[in-house]
Amino acid sequence: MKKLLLLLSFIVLFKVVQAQEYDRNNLILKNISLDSLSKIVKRNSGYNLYFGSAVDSLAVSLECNVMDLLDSLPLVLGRYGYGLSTIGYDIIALKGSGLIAGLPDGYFKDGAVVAPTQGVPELISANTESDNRAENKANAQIMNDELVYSLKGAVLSAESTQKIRSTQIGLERVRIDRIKHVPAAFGEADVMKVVLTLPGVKSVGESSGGFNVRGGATDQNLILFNEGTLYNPTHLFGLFSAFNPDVVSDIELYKSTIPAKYGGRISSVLEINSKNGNNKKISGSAGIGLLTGKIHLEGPLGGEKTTFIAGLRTTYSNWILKLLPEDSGYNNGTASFNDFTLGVNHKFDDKNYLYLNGYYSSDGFNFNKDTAYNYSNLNWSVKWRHVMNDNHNLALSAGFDEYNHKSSETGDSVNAYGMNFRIRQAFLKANFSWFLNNEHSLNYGINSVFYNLSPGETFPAASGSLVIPRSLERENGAELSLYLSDTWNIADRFSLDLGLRYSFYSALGPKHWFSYKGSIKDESSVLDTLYAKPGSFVKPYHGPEFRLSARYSLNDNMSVKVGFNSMRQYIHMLSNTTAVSPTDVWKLSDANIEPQNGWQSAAGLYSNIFGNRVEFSAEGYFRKMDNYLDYKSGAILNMNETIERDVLRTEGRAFGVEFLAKKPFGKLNGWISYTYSKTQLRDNGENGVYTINRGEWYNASYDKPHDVKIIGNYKFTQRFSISFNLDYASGRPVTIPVVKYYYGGGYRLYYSERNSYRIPDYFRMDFSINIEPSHNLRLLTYSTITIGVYNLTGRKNAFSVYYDTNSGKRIQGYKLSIFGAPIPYVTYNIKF
Amino acid sequence: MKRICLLCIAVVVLCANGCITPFEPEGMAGYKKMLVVEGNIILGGITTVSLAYSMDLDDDGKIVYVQDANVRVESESGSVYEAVKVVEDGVVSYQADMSDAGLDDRYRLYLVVKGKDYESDFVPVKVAPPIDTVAYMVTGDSTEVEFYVNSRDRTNSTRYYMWSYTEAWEFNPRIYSEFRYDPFSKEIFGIADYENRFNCWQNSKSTAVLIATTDFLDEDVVYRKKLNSIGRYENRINYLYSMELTQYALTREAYLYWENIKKNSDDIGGIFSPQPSEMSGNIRCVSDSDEYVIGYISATVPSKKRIFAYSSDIGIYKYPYDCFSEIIGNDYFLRDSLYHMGMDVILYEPDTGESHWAPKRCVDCTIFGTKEKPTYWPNNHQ
Repeated sequence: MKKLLLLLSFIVLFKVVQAQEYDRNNLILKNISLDSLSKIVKRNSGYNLYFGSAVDSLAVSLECNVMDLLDSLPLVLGRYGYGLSTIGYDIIALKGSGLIAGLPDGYFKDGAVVAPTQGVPELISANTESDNRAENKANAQIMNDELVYSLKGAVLSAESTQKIRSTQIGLERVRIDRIKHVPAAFGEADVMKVVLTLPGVKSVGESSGGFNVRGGATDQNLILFNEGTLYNPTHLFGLFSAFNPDVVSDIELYKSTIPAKYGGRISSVLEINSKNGNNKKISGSAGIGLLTGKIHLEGPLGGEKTTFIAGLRTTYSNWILKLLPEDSGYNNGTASFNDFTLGVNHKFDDKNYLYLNGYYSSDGFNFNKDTAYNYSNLNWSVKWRHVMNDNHNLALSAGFDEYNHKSSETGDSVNAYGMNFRIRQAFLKANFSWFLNNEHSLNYGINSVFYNLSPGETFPAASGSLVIPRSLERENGAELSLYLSDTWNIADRFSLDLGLRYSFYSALGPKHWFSYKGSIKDESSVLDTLYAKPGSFVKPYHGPEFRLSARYSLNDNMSVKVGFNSMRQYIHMLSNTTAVSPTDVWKLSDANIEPQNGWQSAAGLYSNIFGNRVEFSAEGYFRKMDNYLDYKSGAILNMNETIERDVLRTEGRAFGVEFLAKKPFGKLNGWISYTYSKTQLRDNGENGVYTINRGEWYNASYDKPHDVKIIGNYKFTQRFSISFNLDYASGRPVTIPVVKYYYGGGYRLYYSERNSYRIPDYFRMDFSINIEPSHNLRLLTYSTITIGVYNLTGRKNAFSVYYDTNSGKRIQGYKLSIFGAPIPYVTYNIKF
Repeated sequence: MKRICLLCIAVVVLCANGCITPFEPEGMAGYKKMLVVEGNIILGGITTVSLAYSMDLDDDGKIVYVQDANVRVESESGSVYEAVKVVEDGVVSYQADMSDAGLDDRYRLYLVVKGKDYESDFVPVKVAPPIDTVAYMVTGDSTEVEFYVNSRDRTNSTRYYMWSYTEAWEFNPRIYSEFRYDPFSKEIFGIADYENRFNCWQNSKSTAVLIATTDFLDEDVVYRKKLNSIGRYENRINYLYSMELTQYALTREAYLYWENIKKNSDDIGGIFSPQPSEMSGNIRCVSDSDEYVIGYISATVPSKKRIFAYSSDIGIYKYPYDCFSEIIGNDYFLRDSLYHMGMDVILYEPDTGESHWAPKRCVDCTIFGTKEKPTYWPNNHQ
């Protein structure tokens, strides 16, 4: 039955191809060898196609538009009994329906279309029938090699069975071509905003930089760009993300089963992977939108062994400030931002690869000439991948990450001040993967991170300023983690992922701190002032983290999984705002601030229906977190030496169910998700004294129980498609006043229960038309135009509600919307 | 330190019809009423305490004062200063004479309201340094004038400041009229100087929470703390403006309390606004520990300063109205029509019966103020 469906779809596809007979982009491959197919795929998509058990004599035929090449692969290779999986940029074709998880890096040698000598995970015995049929073919022929030109960003279909076969729960992966087709504010293809369209991911509102995964706080997400950790990956206060979409390959979000090699955050891991450079020729792209201009280049560097990719994006968004009303006082302001990405790969030989990655982003704003504001991220890393032997691999990486922000206010000379914050970290990671045998593949390694924070300094920013220069004591910390995980295929139907990570952490001297009597920390309970010498431990913390999951396949198209994972986090963002603000500072755990920890258990059902064309999944989870930081009234978060006196230890709990139906390919493609979830927090109190809601559970600011997302794209032709989004969510909880009172000459507001009111529900629709004007290969460039409207209905979604007390006795309520009107946009991109 | 407004970009630009729209959350009425205790213990003067109840948000009725309370100030050393109830313009307050109370003691407020006892913490006396200057500054685009205060404590011990002010202003309409129209007889009469509708006064009080700290400065210097801002079309700077500023010194705790009130009122609703939260004051109900009382009592010796500023010196005032005039003959019907159209007589020729009329707002200052001249006013206008 399945084969019939495949065959049917192939016939349909064939018909389409016939109809476009004279299109020069048609690719007609007859009886070509797998080796040739690999090369064609590589050239057209940048993906490496490997065959786990190649049959030299096997030849395949394929007719499609070059745009559809990757779409067609599963169908075509499916006919010959191959199932496809992807690892990074590698597509692995194996006999059977997919690949087991945890295959060592570089297990398949670059370019080799041969089976490794041992340990090939043959999941299903070879389908002799189709092989025999294939053997009858001869005369490998590529109709016209020159027809197939570089096309990046085609849809990859190889993962259609991965969700079912892997032990991963709560893993979402989105390719950049999909991201580029999602309409976004100002038409900027936005990596982070697409994350928000995934089930289980929420934010407090549009234009807020952070995101919340399954009830986690915004500082509990580990955001990795290549190897580097990003602390604030947004531009323009969170309006869009700081990644150039032309150098990004895909994103992966781990919501539940977090691989043991990752740690340091208790909620999720978001991995953003950049592309590898084209190793044949120099190519690139450029684009302009309403706010930004961008360019990227890639290609070989003196031979095929070394490639580079570089991207630059910058803004001309000053016009936005000019649109501000004159009386706002801000229309003299300027805003600028840019980001730069660089990747260089070098292949020494088949066993040694080197990867260099660099990233820099910066934002600067000036309001009224005397208020300036800057922040920047800097990351660089180097990774050496070494194939130790056929079964054993090593990836060794080292790098450096920095995030800093600066602000200054020079309006009057006496109070003119500047304020700086900086976080630096250096890391060294050794990750091994060991393909022990067909049943066990191990990942193990050691990760270390050294933190150095300059938690704040203020200084006079003009001559005549009386501001006292102040600098908080530097914070240092070291985190060392060891991990081991085993992907254990007990049977074809049943596999386990058993991971254990053990992390040690301590703040390091030199450091001064107070010790307190009892749990109440204030001036009166200070016992002693303590000091740790340079390099010595302030207070060590350590503990195990468990990463466990199990998968049982009910049949080829359906599996169930369960998982449990626990996490520890030694760095905290200090913020009492609901949205992530670029003035937020971070703090390391120390003697008085305990690490955050959390666990999550989850279970899911995964099924591919309609002949693998629609992926369906349902997941449920429950999670707990401890030692999350909230703040006392009047807490001062900047330049506070004794922040421990102002924090409230808070615990959290969350549960939810997520349903996702995804159709990755075809004319109509996209996904629909529905989430029901609940996230609550509770003030743990100090000796029975509660600050927030009497120590009872209250809803977190990002608790939006009902959430429906539809992301869709319909291809009318290869040149013309439309995309649409629909986003509905329950209103988020806010704290609003309950009474007013007259005090100090005016009406004041009294706030009671934290987050007891909900703002109106959120609803938004976006729409865009994507036109690829020319496929003529004789042109040097290839251009794309996107025209779209963000917030089509112009609904004024509330971000917050508040009251104005300045207008006399009657206190007027207001709601604030961020995108309160339809926002049309046009972007133009060329590839060369 | 000043909070940086990060938002304005996103908020204003992206909304064609304004991102800020009126909105009334539902179902918020009916929260329990709380006692609000306001006032400072003023050493060397009169301590004035007002007691009122909180109101529903949409309540636009009057403030409900506590009518029958026993109020006294107690010193730690045992002195008691009883307050007496004073009602002035419908405002109920309780006043205690503390002219001879010592500065080295600590004081608290003690109340009995409806049979329940309330007390504040004992608070130390903070003596405010003299006010250096109160002055004004015209904004760069000449559309507003801002009054500000400079202060300095050479002993570096004040650090936390609060201010309140009363303001009064004399203003004139565009046209001086020596005549008056009587709508009953429809006649026009000449008037005496003191009956003029040209010189009027109005007064007001500060409503904003005005606080500052010099905690982060090398010296205890308040420099150009903005007190208010007045637009160029406002009557306040039409002729002569006066402000009397009262400066208080606060403890750090009191400062944090007021700062929280300010945050909860002024900084709420933006994208990067902090979560609103309540901070307990220093007054509690002794009889019922669960009862929440709003208010923070400080003990202080305030300092005061009054300034005057002439419109001609400020130099930005612009008269906001168009003042055309109409001339009519001796016609009672037309007079009456003009009067009912909101015109006022400015000239009258008794011989011909011809009269000149202009919009009332250009002639009659009593629309916007009163003829009650403050006693301290530095001229002989009437």
